Amino acid sequence: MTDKTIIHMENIYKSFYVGTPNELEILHGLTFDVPEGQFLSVVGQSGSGKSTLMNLIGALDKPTGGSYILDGLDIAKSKDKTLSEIRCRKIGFVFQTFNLISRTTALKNIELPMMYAGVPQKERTRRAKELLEMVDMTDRMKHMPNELSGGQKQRVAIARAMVNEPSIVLADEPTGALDTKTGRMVMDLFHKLHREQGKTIILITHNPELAAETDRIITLADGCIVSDIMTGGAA
Amino acid sequence: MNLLENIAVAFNGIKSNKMRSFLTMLGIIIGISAVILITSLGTMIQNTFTGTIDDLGVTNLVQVMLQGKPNATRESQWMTQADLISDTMIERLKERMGDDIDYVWVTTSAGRGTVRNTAEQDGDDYSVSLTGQTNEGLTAGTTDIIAGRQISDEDNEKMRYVINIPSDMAEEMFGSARRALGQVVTVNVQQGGWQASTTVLDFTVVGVYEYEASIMSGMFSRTYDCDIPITTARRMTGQDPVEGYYQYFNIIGKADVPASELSDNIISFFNNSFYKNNDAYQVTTYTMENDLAMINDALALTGGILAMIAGISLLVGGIGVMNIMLVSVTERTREIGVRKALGAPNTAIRFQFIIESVILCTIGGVIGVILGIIGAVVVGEVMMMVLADQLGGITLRTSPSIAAITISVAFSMVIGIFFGYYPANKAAKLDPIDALRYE
Repeated sequence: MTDKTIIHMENIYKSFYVGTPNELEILHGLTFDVPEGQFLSVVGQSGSGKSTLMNLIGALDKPTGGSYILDGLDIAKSKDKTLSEIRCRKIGFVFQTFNLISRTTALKNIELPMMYAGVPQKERTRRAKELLEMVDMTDRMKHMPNELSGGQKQRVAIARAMVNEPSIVLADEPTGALDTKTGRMVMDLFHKLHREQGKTIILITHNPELAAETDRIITLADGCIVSDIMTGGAA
Repeated sequence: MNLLENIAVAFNGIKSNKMRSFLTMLGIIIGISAVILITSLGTMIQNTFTGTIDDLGVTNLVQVMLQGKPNATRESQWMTQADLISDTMIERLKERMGDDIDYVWVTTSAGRGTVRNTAEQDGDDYSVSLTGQTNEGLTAGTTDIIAGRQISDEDNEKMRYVINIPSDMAEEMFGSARRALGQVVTVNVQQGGWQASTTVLDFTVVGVYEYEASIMSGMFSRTYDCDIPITTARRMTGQDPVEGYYQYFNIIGKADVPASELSDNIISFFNNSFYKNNDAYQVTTYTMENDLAMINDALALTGGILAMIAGISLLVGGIGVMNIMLVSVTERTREIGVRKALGAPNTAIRFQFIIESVILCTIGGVIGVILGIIGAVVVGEVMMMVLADQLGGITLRTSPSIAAITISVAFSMVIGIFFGYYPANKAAKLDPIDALRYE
């Protein structure tokens, strides 16, 4: 962990249906910083605003109020095109449902973010193979997603998230669709990334046991941070 | 993200939905094949017409003929030798307008009759039409000598009894064109008019010309056209062998001189000199230019209407493509969301779907072109079979033009872009969060 702040959120508000009678405020002024290299978990009941917060952190959406600085970039003031650039280079997404592109091989799935980043084909293949090795999936690189098990899919998805050397890895319930054993394997992989590569990882979960393994737990309820505790290191 | 990758991705998408892709393409396939079929058949018909006319060598041909004056003062309309166009007049025309004229083609008919192989006792009679020709006129014509030689100037000077016959006649009479050469044939000519008479003469075959069937030739029983020296023909018909007189003759203008301009000059040349004081006749001309233009106009109009119908089917096909692309975008909403989360800019998404639609349409276009060509060839063959009697051996040349093929394929690409843009744009503008959440 370094002293560098990778995420700076100050007084973040998010409302939907702005300007209509149905206007709905989901996040009510969140403020927190994430230092580089932290393994952070965000927990909360459904409806607490977890997903909305994740979308904001992941630059999929912009806050209605407040300021969000990601690795020195002001997200709230960025244009759509800049946001896609940020998603491409700064953020690695890992989804609950894996979200691999179904008609392409594991290798091509991993190459995809590099394609959008404009990496030459040769370099893409080289790097994708490197990451496949990291997640121990080299022997499955020509397989289609439907030929892979859930755990294997998630490992490919993690490799894909890592491929552009993102500033943060954003994992939304990454073990939610997996059994305990494979879920454990995926969590171990995150720990490894955190430990060996010093990645900033944000884990969104409602599983308190998984959250307890991380450096820090932010608990959301009704769009507010109700607790923000340091656990004192990985389990 | 480069073009090739997008094309590969698009092919993948098309392959994974083969049946649907094919049905989507069907509209384009039908539309394009209809366009190719119509244009191919159109050019085939046009080629057949203009080819027939070209074979007659008429594109720069001016027919010069006598015509009664509208304000004739002569009481009797009987044409006398003094009214006819003479060789002397034609020589004067050549002196004056030689630069515009390639050939003068004068003929004198020696009448109709029959020909038989002199060497055969009970040989068949062949019905013929004998035409006195000059070497210049035969050179101007488009008949090709396949054995022996053309009627020469010497034949004319010496008034020889030599004859050129068509290839089919030579084959029937002597077995082959080559064997006909040097054979003697007995010609039996009936001179018409008020004192019908029969002349029997022996001619030597010196040349065989290639008989080409025309679109009309199958309609009538065959009369063989045979060429003899023009001087011989005149002598047979009791005319002055040296100086010819004609009611009509042909001029083949130089290729760069418009037939209409040439014919105007010819009319004014004759009517301002030799026919100025003629009290009954004047010279007029006829060119095929107007006829050709009329045929072409009619064909263009028919082609245009058919092309419009084909265009409508292409439009329908395009709408089909748009519809399926919209379905595809909806189906792949989640994929679009994932791609956006992974950093795909809107332009990349838009490009991906446009490429997919263009590929779909282009494949359809190429298949359509192939089917259209096959269809045109088949229709051409069937037409030749059905109309064999009328065509009399003429071949219909089906020639799908490179231009039509290029335009069709290019147009199907344009359809792909045009009808793919809206769905692609819809995909590009999807909200990534909504798209990711889409079930």
